[in-house]
Amino acid sequence: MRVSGWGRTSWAEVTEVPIVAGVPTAWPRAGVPRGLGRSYGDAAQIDGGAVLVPSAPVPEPSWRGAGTVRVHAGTSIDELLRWSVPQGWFVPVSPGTRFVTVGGAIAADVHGKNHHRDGSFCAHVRRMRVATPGEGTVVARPGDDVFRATAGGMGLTGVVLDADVRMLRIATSWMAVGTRRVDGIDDMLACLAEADGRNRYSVAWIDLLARGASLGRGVVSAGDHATVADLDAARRADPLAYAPRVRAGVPDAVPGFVLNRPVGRAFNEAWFRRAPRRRDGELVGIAPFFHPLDALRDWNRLYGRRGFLQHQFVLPDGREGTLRHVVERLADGGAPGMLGVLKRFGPAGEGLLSFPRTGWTLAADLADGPEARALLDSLDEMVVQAGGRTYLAKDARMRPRHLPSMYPKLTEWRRIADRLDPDRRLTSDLDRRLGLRGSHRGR
Amino acid sequence: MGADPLRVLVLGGGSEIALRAVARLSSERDVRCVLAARDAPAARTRAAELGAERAVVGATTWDAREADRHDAAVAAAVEVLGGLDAAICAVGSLGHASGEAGAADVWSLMTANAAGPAAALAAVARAMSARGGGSIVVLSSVAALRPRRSNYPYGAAKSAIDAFARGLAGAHPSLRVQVLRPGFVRTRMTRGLEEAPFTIGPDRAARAVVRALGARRSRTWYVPWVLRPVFAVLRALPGPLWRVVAGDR
Repeated sequence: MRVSGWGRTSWAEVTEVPIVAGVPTAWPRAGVPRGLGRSYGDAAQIDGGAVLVPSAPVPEPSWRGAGTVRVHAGTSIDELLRWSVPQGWFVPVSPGTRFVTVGGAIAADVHGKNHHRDGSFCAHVRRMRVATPGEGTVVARPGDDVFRATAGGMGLTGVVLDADVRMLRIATSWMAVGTRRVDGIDDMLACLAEADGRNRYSVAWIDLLARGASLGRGVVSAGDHATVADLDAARRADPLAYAPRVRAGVPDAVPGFVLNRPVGRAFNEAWFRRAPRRRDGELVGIAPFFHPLDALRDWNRLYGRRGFLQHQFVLPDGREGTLRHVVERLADGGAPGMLGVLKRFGPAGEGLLSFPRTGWTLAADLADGPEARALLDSLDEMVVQAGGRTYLAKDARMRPRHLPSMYPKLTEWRRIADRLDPDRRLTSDLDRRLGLRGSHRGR
Repeated sequence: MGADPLRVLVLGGGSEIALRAVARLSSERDVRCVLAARDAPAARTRAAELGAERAVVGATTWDAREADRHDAAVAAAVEVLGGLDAAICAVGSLGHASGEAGAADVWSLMTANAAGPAAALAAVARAMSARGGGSIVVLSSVAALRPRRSNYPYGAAKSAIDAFARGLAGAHPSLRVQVLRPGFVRTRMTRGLEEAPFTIGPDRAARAVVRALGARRSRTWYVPWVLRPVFAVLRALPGPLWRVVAGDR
């Protein structure tokens, strides 16, 4: 069967190998775990090989003591939230879509709007079971080699079977949100940094088509879980109500011109003008706050047949000059980025290949094409020179030479990965393209 | 259980006959099987219902009507199996009955029952030859032997895959290719149709598949065997008489 990443840029012919009773029915010679296929590039596929998939039905989560849930790796964040929110618990970290599996969230060590405060997903995993080709099923806890290599390890150390995740207590299923419209990049950075001090969650949407004096203009949104006292009488009747809906999808064949530069400019202008200059205490549901794109099923098809590149990098603190330069390049670029997402990261976690580290992170969608790829190549150079890195779970096109400088713990990770999978059965198109596992020792 | 598992690819992985054959095989020896089916998850569920889940190590969504994917799909399955010892080609859809079938229906039927499986079998044959040989069972049908008014597009397609499979046997000396020509088999595909004489159950057909897989040289098989002499006579009948016997009026 043919599969691709969410960006639909590269495709692979694969066979599905189900994971039954904690092990793959057979370790294929070349395979990689695949959950819901939300990584944008080629991380969860291997052309001519196998994808290791959870076998349905996935068992329900269960509590292991107060606030810690044991959840099967094939469970999606969506399923977990539908189960936990009515009980008054929220996932410790939620990425921009709830249609990722827990296994995928660990493999990419995903982050959310609360990274500045709570770190990435794996910071809240207390224990996980990992099926490995070399050492069988291993129980891994924070600090263990297996844990540090599997957190953010892109599925190349084994198949996560289940995980114990520390959840977050919530009183309501509502978010109390503040919004600020900012006219330029300096204001935006200051506003975000300030919001981080006050709010558990913060993010900024940045207009990547605005230039000149408006460069880096956007909307900063920050919030916290609302308390019952924040709710009006109607909402108090059922403060933990949670029933997110997904609207009908996008057809498979959208013409390429739907998202072009003039359309993007008009859209961004309208969106910027619509945002209030300043608003506080607005009540917003969990789904629109955390997962706005999930409202439209198959939105990735909006970019048409050629697909799109989602690019995300992080720059260390003190490199705001580079950040401004990158935003300029995107704004000037022949390949239009539409809306970017800007956020401050807190300190890195223990995952050896985890993406987040202290600094500024920017994510942007670009319609795929040679211009877009050339632009991103030049951004990689700037990011590497500034001591930053590109996010592997989103990457579809990076050059392998940047890998060691972006991920300085690569050598240590390779050593552990080779121990867990000595025959290198776990491989992906991402691994092949970037040489993540390293040279194949004469093979 | 033997040392090395038997590595089997099923084309048409939702087929009741093929899945029962896999279940039967796996009760005798260690079997690893990949199902290539139009709906891979459904084929896996079906495999579990029919007792073949222990053998099924993988599944791939594969539509016989997609022209450019046969090589890649077979290659990916062989990679997962780590080689290929046997293949069962059980792709089949009866489609609409003859008279009302439009151009699109006929195209779809011919592609699904003949062109697609033949292309996939070519990929299988190449993969097996490169590894020194293998055993292939192709589910043809007695409908391939003489067209009937009621289902001649299906018969024509089966006729094509039947001839292709026999040709494959001749062209690849390292392969053993078994062409099975069952009569009416009670399966989901034939549910609701009027049964013919010598109708058999799916288990009997599955037994024949297993037996054919073990055969030492390529040949054609009738299931049940009595259909061989019966059709020797039927094929020789003059047209008008054939139509009476075949119920084609």
